[in-house]
Amino acid sequence: MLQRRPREDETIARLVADRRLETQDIIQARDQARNWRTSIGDALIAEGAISHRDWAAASARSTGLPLADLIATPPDPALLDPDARIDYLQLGLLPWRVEGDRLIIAAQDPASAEAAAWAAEHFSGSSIAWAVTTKFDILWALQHAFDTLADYEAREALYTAAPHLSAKTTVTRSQLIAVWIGLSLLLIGLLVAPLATTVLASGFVTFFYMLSFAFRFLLTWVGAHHDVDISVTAEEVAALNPEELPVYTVLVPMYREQEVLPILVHSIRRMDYPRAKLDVKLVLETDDTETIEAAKALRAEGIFEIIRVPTSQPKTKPKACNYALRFARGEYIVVFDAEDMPEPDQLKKAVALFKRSPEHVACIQARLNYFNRRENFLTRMFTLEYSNWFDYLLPGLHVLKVPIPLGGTSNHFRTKVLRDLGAWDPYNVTEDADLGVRLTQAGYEVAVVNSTTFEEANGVLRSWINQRSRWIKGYMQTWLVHMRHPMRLYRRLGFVGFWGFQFFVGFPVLTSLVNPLLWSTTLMAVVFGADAVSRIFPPPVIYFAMFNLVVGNAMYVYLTMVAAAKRGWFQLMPWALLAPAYWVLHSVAAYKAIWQLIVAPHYWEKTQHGTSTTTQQTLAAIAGGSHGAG
Amino acid sequence: MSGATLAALPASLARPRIRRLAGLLVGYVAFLWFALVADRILGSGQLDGVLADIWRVNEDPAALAGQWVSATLLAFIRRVPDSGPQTLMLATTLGAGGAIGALFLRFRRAGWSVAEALAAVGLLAVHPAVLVLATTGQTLLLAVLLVGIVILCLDRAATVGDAQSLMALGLGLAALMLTAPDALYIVLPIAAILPFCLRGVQDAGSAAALYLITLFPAVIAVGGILLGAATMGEAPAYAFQRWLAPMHGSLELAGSEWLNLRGGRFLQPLREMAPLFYLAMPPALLALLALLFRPEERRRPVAALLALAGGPLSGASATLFWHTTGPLPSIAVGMAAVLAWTTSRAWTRPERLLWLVWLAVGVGLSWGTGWLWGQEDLAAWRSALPI
Repeated sequence: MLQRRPREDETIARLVADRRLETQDIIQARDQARNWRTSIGDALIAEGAISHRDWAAASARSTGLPLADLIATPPDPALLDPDARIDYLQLGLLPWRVEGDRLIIAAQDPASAEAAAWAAEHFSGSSIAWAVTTKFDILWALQHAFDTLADYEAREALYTAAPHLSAKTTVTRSQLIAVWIGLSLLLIGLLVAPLATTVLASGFVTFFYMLSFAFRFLLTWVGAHHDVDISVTAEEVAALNPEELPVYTVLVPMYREQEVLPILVHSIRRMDYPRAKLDVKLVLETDDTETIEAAKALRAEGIFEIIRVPTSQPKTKPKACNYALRFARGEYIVVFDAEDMPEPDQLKKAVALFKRSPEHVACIQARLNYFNRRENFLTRMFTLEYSNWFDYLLPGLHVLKVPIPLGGTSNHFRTKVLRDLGAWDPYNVTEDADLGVRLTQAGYEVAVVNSTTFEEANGVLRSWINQRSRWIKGYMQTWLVHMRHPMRLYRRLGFVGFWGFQFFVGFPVLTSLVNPLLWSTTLMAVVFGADAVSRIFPPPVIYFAMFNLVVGNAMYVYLTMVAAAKRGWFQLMPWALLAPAYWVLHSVAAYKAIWQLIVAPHYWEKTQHGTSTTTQQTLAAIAGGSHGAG
Repeated sequence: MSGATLAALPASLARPRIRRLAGLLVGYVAFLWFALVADRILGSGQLDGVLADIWRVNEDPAALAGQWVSATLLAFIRRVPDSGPQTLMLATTLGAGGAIGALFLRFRRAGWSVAEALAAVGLLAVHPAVLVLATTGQTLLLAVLLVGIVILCLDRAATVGDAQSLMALGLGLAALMLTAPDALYIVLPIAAILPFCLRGVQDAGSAAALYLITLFPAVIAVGGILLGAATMGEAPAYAFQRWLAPMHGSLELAGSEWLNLRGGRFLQPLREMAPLFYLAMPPALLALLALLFRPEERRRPVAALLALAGGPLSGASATLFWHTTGPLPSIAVGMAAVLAWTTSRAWTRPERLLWLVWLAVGVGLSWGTGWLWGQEDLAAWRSALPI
């Protein structure tokens, strides 16, 4: 029997006849489909005018094709090819089952030329029949069929392909030997020549503090120039042709964060991007039934998909992202946190920047900042720190061609490069920072785009310490991973990149650990007089130590102050004077981090979101329908 | 880089490199010229005493008098093998040569032709005020260069207003304070007009915040020295007095006819210094014309105002507080302001020619009349030259 392939107008006519669609929806969808160069069905589904299942059912009824319910009747596992998963997802089809001598392919759009060409290429000798299904059915079936494989890949792909780049092993044998030798020399020195050893150590630390300060200053200076702020102009964004925009995957990994889900959905709806080209994946843990149920209850448009990540160790965000990456359809991919509020033009700016950048620009980092900056001391300091980090230091790193440790969210990637590179390291608790360095090592470049994602600053002390200890632990992991072969790293990054990596990733961690010792020394000098410490700080060292203590620290305060200037947040500037108190918290977190690195290197300290009053107000406003574009 | 490689480069890339090379060449020629003059001065023995005093400054910490940057430079110079008081002269001639080279580049960047830029720096190199700064081994040269840089930063903060310009201004002011504490006479007027010239100022809060950004480095610098001194066992009050030392004027008063006649007054020295300055540096008057006839200059008037009046006002203030031995420092400060302003504006060809003619007149008047040479040390300096 010759099968009749579905025609879109017939499907629409069926839906109108069934009173499932309004004329106004169709007119709007027709315009959008023309603008976006998608099917009207995709436009209708993206706008929430119709569900995937209703569309598929109408399509099947209008043509007499069978409706394939892949949840009730999963595909024959023998027909599925694990290497063709991306094809299945991008083309929206999969071989379903064999009936008699015919292979039935279930497809979202059996009429599409791409689907027919793919089927002809892959099953040239077979008689092919078609069935209609939905995107969710395909996703569910693929998850069901390749659950174990995808989970394994998410955990072990990087380790299997390049074990030296994985933090699964925290410290290598050669690193252990180096640490042992270093500590032994220090101990022997302290026993044999305590004064000389202490002087040498203080001189060494003082010297590197000075270099570290100089590097920070240089980065802030370079990042403070107005030129670095204009990477994509409004005109460039306006010049983008909607029909040429590619499918964009948005990953939103979440764990027990059902309360902030509406913020995310609201933010995605506000995005200035063709909805039919958005592939939004809510990446949820299988055991997190509360968030899964909350996500279902939102009844969001068809662009939102739920990816259930199997429960396995390590239970980390990068593992969840790796798992979801197996189901991504977009040419580009971005990661957002659940409470993120990206500026609406961010995806378009990223596309514009990708398009005008050479192919080796594989990642674009958007700026991060906080929407609840005025809540308390912590949120203010956090905002100043992030402003310095994302508005000055990262652009500075970009200009100086130093590897950029990516920030927690809003990293946009070329999906293919991300896949080829092994994606995120699931064993690294600052997987983004690690990935930034890995990209640079592989010859790729990270750019910074002038679009901001606003997040919730952690304003609860205990939670802040937990979050910060994870970040510091992750930086330790990242440094240890990439310093397994220092010479290789040097060859790949060059002089500036190598030392930039040391001073941006390695040394700040060390300073957080060493600071309490130096503060104690200063305190001793103040309480007992300069003579008490003068022996370990002989004249040449004391001058530099004094410089660091007074000018270095004060300049750090100054750089924190300047951080608020770019965004005109002048009220925050005086708070920079309290930065030293904030550094004490850093040191507390650093000691927790080093302890955890030893006893639980892959443990993910979960940050609790939704605690801010601003978040609560935003949620209330969204629920009341009054939260606008701001 | 070979000529062939250079030719293969796009013009936009090649030009800055050639320009930088030209700047180096001009700076080198200027250094040779200053060195020739310095050699003549040294040969006359007129400045031996002054140079020896400066050379000894590190031996007496009290004599540092807050000139920390100069003292640090001096400490480095003293470490050069076989160095002596004459090495100071070498340092200032080198510094002045470098400044002339940099100035040539700024003129070129501002759209001046090669001939015009060469004429401008050539006239400046033979200006007596510049020659004195370059060949007397004094730290005034450093302070004057910093004044020029501060004014450039201020102008950029007023026009571009990005965070880097604010930082540059803050650091420039701090460096100026550490180089010469009496730079307060130029720093304070700048601080007073700061809220009116920064781009980001919208209200009192933003003005206060931008004040904080621009003045905090100076506070760090001065506070750092006091705290550092305290940690090393010196009472902060004593360190502060040291910083203030050159500002009480007693030393200057002892040997200065200028202070004896005008010290403690403001209007009288201003009335005398202003004409002196305009005669020595007539292009300063172009700032007045620009303020009168160019609306865009009135929108960002701070650099033009400083070019027009910064020098005389700072000199008169310094005289009011018993601290300046004569008009030369204020003329030098005013010249730096004029040059900073000139090279940050676009000029038409007739305006550039007018600027050059007026500067030539200023050079002629400065050499040809006795206005500049009233002070004993300057007269001695001049007597060593054949003109």
